[in-house]
Amino acid sequence: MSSRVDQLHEDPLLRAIFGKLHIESIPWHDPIIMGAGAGMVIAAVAVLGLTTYFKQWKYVWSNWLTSVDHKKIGVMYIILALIMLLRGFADALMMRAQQAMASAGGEGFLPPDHFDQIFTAHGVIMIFFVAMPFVVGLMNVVMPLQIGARDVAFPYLNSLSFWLTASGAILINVSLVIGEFAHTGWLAYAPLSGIEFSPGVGVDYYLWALQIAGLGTLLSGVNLITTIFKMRAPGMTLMRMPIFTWTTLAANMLIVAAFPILTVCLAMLSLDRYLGMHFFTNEAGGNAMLYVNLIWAWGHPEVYILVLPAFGVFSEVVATYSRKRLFGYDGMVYATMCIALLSFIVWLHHFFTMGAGANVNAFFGITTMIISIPTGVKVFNWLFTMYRGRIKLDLPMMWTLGFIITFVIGGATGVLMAVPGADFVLHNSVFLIAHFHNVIIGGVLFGCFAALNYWFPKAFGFKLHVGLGKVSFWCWLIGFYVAFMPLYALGLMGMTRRLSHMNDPVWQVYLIVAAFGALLILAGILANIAQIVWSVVKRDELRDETGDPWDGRTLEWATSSPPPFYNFAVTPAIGNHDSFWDAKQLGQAYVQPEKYEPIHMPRNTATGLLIGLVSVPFGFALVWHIWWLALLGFVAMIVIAAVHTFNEDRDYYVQPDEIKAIEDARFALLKTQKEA
Amino acid sequence: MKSSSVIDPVPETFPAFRRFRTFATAALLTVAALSLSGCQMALLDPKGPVGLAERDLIFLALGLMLIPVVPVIVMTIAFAWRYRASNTKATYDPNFEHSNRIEAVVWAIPTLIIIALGTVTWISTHQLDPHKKVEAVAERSHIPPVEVEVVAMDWKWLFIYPEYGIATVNEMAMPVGTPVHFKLTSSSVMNSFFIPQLGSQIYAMTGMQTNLSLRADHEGEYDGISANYSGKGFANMKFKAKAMSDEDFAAWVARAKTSGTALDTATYKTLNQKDIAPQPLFYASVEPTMFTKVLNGCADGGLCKDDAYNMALLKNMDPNAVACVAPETDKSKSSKTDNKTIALNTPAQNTLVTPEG
Repeated sequence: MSSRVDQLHEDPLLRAIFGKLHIESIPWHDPIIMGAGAGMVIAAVAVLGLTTYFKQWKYVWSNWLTSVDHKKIGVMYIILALIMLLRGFADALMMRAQQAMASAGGEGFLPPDHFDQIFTAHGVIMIFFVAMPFVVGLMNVVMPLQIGARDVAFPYLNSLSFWLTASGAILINVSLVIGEFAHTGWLAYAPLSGIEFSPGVGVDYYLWALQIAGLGTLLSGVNLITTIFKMRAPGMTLMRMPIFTWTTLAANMLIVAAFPILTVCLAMLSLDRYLGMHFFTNEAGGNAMLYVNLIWAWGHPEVYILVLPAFGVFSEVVATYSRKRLFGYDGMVYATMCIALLSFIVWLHHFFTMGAGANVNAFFGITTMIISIPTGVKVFNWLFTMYRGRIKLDLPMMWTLGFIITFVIGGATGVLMAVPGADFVLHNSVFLIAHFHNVIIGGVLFGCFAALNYWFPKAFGFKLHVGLGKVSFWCWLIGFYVAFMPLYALGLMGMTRRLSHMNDPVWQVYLIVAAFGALLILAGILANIAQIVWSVVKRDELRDETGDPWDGRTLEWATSSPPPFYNFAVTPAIGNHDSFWDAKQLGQAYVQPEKYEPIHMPRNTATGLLIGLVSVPFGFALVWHIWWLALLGFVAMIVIAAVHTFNEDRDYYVQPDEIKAIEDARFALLKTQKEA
Repeated sequence: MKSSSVIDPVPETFPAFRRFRTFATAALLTVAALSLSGCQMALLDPKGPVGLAERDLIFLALGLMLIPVVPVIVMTIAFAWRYRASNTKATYDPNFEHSNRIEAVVWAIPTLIIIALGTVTWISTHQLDPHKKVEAVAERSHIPPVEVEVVAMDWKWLFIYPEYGIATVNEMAMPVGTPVHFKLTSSSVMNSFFIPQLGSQIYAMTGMQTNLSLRADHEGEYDGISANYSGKGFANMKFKAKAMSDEDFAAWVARAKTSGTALDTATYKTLNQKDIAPQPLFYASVEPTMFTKVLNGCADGGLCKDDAYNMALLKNMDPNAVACVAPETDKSKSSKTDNKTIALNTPAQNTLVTPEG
């Protein structure tokens, strides 16, 4: 379809070496793409150059790139998410600008071919490379601390998971400059994503980026479940785990159950595209409806993979800042697990309009509504946690209040669309777009920002700047309403999604308002960045030396900020899900033990980083049919993993002297704090 | 709810009230915007019984949802205000974490609402089942419904009226008060057939037939769209659905009849090319089996899928049945699989399988 992908080498030798890759695969004449590409290259060179200039390679290599410390890996996940947020949001701005400009008969500045790639990239990036790494990063940083573990169950696997996710993100960014991205929508429905209708490399980038990143996510799921089941501190029974740990468990169970469906579905689409099979085309008994069912059988649980940990964050925040026990802990746990189970039997609500019979549609409509019962219980439990509390309106609590109000609106429109008869007119409209942004921004993203402000001092030892945080909060909250309320209205006017241009002056008014809302959100994002940068600059003023800046309740606040690499010098014993709060009440917190035992810790390894790095050219080669490179990459990854199995020097013991030195310093600091 | 717009009595340290004001302003703006353009809200201004039932369903479901949503929003603001840290007069009960009564209520309220909404869902889903045929208005029950066969193409809509032997592109007509029974399929990717003001949309998928029944009760020209993204020309994949009097409808059919062109295999092949149709097209006649052929993947010539399938079956049952194979499938003689027999008959633009491959 696009001229960029039709170029093929005539010479068989060149074709063997370069596959479908051609000098014309780079869109030299497109100023938007070349500008963005140049920007990315300059940013990458700047980071590498600065690292070299300040002679920080050794530090970066040994403290970050090869680290297997769950806290460092979690932070790297979140950095990845924030970087990709900029890319995904740039796409969002272009879409809003295009629709605002091209809604009264104009052509706008983006041809359909480019616009289609942008909305596809926006969805893929925001779900797979912003929301997922942010949530996985939070789970990595916080969960082992909450259960009193020293690291995750499989530290090297954790590093591998991260680098596979990062490599998927790199492939997506490469597609911007070399070749094209899919113009199929973020779920790449067959047969549009088949070779007949998408002959270019865009869908192949989509497939391999998601397969590589998805493998990382799946491994991470296995890792975190094992960690929760096997590595809890003594006394921490399941019903004494903090709610965030519970939601982490539920989300990772969903990952382990749902991601293989995605893997299989994308593998079948790859077989269709690469080997001429017919899983999803009409020939030989294939059927596109299979694809839609499979992708949503993963896609719906995915929604809960993202939002359950966010619910966990709000549960922690609301109890901490209300200075009160979480109301209805047991109810929260059961509600979480109910939602996790139910999330697997609702997927058909994404396509009521496919022509299923009334019984099938009604069944899936009602199961969908049933999810709102445990969700409603959670909302009421947060409210009754606030009830008779002493609410301190710090940034995480502001995000939480913004969330509750926004989320119930999004929930209401969601339940509305769960009624098949209503969905028959609302399906695929921008009303739907408004709904899922309402729950993903209002739920997942607000949760991530609450968590960022809440746990940042734990990870780095200083708080985030409050003023800039408030600017960011208000820009996001107001920006969200300004950007998406018009879309609800436009949906009721009959505007469907993914239109590159239209002709209705009334719609244009709404779309201009929505574009203005997007600019407000941009201001929010810039304030986020400013907040982080300014807080780093002013870190000495914002420093927290207690390790417990918010008067926290759960175990992660018992250790120093940032925690020592071994997290806890002595594994704490747990009697309650608010164990640290109780310890403080009983005066048992901050008591230095007489002596220390040696601590068993994993050694850093570059294996995960290397496999991740090799998986980039491996995926790239598969995209461009460069078979020799794909084979080489595959063999290289196997060899690197195999060599690692011979490395027996993987762990060591931290000696009591070293622990004592670190802990003495910590307790000396605590003492000066107390005196001051 | 008390308005707080005149003076700001809220201290700077407590922004919950400001949040409420933001929300109230946003809600007011939205309501204002809605009322300004009420007539443009296609879904709230339906022109037929299906759309009307769906609009009422939206209002009913929304009303039911407001029962918990409004109190939750009020409680959020009220609790955040009442139990703010600076308000030392409010009760502080740091160990209040469980109350059977409250927990029973918070499980019961959503459950009751969902029982109500679930019942509505069960009944309405059966009433609005797109397979179910809509009735004519009472005084017109003697007039038979109009049958329309719809083909979603890249990127246009083909309408076939088998009873009248005509076909049109990007424009369809129907008599007011008479139900229209649509049979839908696609010649390429998945699309969704949708006339917002008449109600229900339904997917059009290649190789499959879906059904939909609609009725327009008011004369008018309604926008029709594809509501499922289908590629480069998607934004142009629009049509007009015209509801008219019986006389006008007869005249509309007659106009198509006099248009001169016939929709046969050759015309179909040209029409089916990947392109948009800027103007509506009319065909005076159409092959009676055209829709079945589209479903079978042979509207632009070649072997139909059901024939190919039957032949492949026969061949497996009795090797001599190869004699039945049409001449152009000779190349597949060596092949025993269903796959290749069918692959030969895929449209020319299909680059997926070549006879050698």
